[in-house]
Amino acid sequence: MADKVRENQQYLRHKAKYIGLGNPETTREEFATQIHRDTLASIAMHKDILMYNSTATNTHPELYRQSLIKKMVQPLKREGPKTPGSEKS
Amino acid sequence: MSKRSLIGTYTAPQLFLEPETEEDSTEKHVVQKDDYKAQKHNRLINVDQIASYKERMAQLARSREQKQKALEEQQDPENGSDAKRAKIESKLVKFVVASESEPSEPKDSSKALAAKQGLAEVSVVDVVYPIYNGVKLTNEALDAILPSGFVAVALPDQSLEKKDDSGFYVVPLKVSSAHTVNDTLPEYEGITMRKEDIKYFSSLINVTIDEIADAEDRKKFRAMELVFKIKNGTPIIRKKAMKAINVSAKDLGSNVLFAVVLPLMLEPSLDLADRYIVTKLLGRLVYQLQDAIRPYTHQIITALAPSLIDEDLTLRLETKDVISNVARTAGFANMVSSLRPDLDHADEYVRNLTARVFAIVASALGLAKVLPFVKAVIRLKKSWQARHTGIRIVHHICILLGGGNGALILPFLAQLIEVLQPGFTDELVSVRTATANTTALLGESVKPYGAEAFEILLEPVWNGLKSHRGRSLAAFLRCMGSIIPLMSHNPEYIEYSNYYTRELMNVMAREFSSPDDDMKKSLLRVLTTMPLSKVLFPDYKKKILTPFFLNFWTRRVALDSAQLSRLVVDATALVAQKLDVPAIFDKLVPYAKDDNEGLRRMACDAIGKILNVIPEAVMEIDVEFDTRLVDSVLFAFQEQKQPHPVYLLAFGIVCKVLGLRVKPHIALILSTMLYRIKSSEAEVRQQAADLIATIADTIQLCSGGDDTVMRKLILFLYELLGEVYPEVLGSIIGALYGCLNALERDALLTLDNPSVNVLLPTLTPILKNRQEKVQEQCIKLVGLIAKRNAETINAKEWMRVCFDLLDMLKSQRRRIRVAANATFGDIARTIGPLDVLLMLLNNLQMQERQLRVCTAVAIGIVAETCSPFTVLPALMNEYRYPDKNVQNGVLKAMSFLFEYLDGSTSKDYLFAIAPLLEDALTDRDQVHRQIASTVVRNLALNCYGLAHDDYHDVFIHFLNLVIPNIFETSPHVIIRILECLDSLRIVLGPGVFMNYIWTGLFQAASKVRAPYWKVYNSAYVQGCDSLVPYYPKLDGIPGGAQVDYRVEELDVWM
Repeated sequence: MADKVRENQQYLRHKAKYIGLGNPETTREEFATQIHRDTLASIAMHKDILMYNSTATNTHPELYRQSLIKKMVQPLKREGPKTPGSEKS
Repeated sequence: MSKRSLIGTYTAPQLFLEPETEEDSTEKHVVQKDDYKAQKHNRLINVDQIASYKERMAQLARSREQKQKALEEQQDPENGSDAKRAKIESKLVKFVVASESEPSEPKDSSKALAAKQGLAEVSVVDVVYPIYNGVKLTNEALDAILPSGFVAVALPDQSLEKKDDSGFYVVPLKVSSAHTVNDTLPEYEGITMRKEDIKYFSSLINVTIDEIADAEDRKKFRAMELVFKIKNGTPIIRKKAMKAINVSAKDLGSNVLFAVVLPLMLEPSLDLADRYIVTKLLGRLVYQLQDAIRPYTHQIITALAPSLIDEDLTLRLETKDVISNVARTAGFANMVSSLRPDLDHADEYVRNLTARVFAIVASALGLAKVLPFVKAVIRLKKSWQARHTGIRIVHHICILLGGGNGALILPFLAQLIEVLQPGFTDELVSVRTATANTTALLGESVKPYGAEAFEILLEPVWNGLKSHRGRSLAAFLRCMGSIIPLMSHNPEYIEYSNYYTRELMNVMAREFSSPDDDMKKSLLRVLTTMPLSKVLFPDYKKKILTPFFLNFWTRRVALDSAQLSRLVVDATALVAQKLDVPAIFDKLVPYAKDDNEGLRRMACDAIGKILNVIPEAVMEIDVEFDTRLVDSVLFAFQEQKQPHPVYLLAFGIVCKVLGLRVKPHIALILSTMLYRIKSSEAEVRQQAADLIATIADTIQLCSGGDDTVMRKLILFLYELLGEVYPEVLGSIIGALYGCLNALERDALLTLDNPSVNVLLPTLTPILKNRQEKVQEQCIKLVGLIAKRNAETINAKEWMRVCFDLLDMLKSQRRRIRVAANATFGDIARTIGPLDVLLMLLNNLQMQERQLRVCTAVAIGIVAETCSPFTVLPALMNEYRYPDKNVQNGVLKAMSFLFEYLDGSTSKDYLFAIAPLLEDALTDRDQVHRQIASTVVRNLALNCYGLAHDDYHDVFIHFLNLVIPNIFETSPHVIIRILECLDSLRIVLGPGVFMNYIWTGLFQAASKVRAPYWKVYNSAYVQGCDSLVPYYPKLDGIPGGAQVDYRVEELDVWM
């Protein structure tokens, strides 16, 4: 029991620092959001990948970076209207 | 209204208690540390009565109002006291005082007056008003509290009270008297109650649960029973009860549970272990009850907070944890509403605790949330107590989050300073002092960054320096002293830093002569941090050094306190570093020959420290000065009455630093030492031997290649090996070690009297000595001989030594076991590993665990020194022996072996040991699997970067075998397994490894998901960026929402 409490505390501490961590209660959607964010961040912060992408899309790298960062706010786009109970599973 | 607050008389200002004798009330009770601590028992917790925030604030306002009124009355005594007396006399109402402890001194004046006025028939009128939260319940106070319409009840007739003695049997109250009849304490279910438990748990004995009809009472009984078992039961009972209370916490309800637990926390006679357990229990309850604790937040904090200033560190930490859990569960708003009234509580004790609690809340919920509140508190106009507490909150935040170059504070530094700023212009000195102290701490905890943020404070602090005296000046000095190093770190502020250093030094030099202890400490602390230099202070000798030595190097300082003298020594060392070593030495050396031992020790300490940090300073010292230096340190060494390692250290450093320059003094030192080693006092002999051990290298250096002196010394020491005092014998062997170590290898070979052949057999019986120091030194000496000159000695002799060494592995002290193990390696190198290994492998069949572990380590060391191919075959052969202990020992030896070897060696053995590990990893016994995974972990980590494609297969094979163990639950095993998985991820790379993990993250069973998430989390923490390329590509979730999972950016290509 003591270990579990401590483990939970440690998890919370880590979670405060590394937002992408999860536990058995993490939903698929949360997980998908996190890995989406990580991917976008990785593209935005690696200079060469950013340059590659901005060349391909014909935008300024910094503008492209900005757009990526903005996208990180809500990476998953909903296509249709939200159906009840869809958030779980 | 809650009764939680303070009862007892000390909170109420004296003038409330005895308004007549105002002169006497100025005499204060001298507050001691224990008194302060004892206040924690003076609080009441009543879980049934929960006051709302408004009620508590209103009550607070009333108490303050009354106090104000009293102050006003005190200020004009001629109307005030008269009016008061008149009031008291006019109201002839007797209060029935609930608490018996309330002092009730009859007031002569009122009695006399009553008699005068002819009211003699109303017996005696003692007007003792109960005091409640610092509010005295006078009639007008009651009028303010109660709604209109209440009337004071007339005094009951005295005769009515004695009406009951009719002679009938009266049913006694339900209180157990078992323990008062005979001396034995009552028991419940075989667990004895302690004396203090009776008042909390006596109802457990008086009723059984079957007798209770009311469901609520049953719950109470159950809660009481569980808490009692947790508090007093044996570990097994406690564990069970803890589990039960965890499960049923929600059913029992927070009210019932806290009503049992919280009063228990305030029990004065609760011992430390019990207090710890109850605190822990409270933490569990908070964890289980979650939101249900909210109404009780204040009660919980009241019960917990006193432990924050307990002497015991563990209790403090546990309390801190529990409070931060409470903060997380209750939320910031709830915490504020329950703690706000305590911020300007009349009692300093309560405020102190509140500040600490708030700091913990801030660290738990994040500074960003709490700082705006603290800022508002510090700006409060109404009460200085609140402002002071606000400053203290920041102080404790610094203590909690400081360190690590202020990484946690720096982001909020500008805000923190903005919060503190108004404190410098406060009207009260105590608030300003607290602000200065807090700013000093803030500066220290963000060192060396943040000069920009502190810039706005420079002016107020400098003004404060000019306008304060005594303790507050000390605080401002410390504050300035913590800002200056930050500025000197930042090149942009170098001008400021120079200016303020110079100016501050003037103030400090003025204060050097201050007798105040607090001031002295601040001065010394500031002195150590200031960027002094010869350029800044061209006349430093006159301005700094002379007053410094005059005021701080005194016998008084040496006698007064250890802390102060340590500070003086540190400051001296740092000043010497920054300014001028020879000048400081010139002043220090006479103190090493002072009559006072404390001063001599301080001087030696300082000399040692200075030379340790800047050995090159010796170049500046005149050669003539050497004589004085060596002489004085030797003098101090000889004259030590209370032995202290400082002298030895100082002498050793002086000799080491001077090197060849000691040569003229060697004869003097040696003759002194040889004389002293023959002394009749054991203590003196030991010191002399220790000194020889320290300076053996220097003696050899000064002899200039001629080792006759050394040989004589060795013979001399050899003859002393018959010493009876074990402490001294240990030192002599140490000295012998030093001398032999100083000799060169050739000289050791030609050593004839005593030759090494003679020396070793002499040492073997000494190895059997029971004293630990002797054992350790002896093993070291044997190890030295084995390392430097093993060939001259017969292999049989070495085997004899080996057997003795095996016994050493049983030793309690770790250092002895380490030394013994190292010696095994040295011996194995000279006589070959086979004999030694055979002996060690036999030892694996022993029963004691420590012995087997040490043997395993020794095997590892032997394998490391004689390369693994000589040892591994024998080990693998031994693994076939069908005994669990032996097999475990072999695995353990392998885990050490592969920990010591680096990857380029161990990768050659990967394929060879794979079948063995395969067998171990699939064994039924989980300890087998645990140790085998440690072996795999060591292998994997060492082979990182070396295992190219050929070796990948082996590690994938290991991964296949390890991963099913992910569901182990035993704590030791699962830790090793997870570590092993982590290291396999490192060696294989996340690409391959994560394929094993993705599948488990969203398994249907939560028990399955949990360990997989743990592995994922550690992968994420350790290398998030390297995971990104291997993230699964999601197109959609079956049955999920209509969401677009594609990452468009990944599809871009040219």
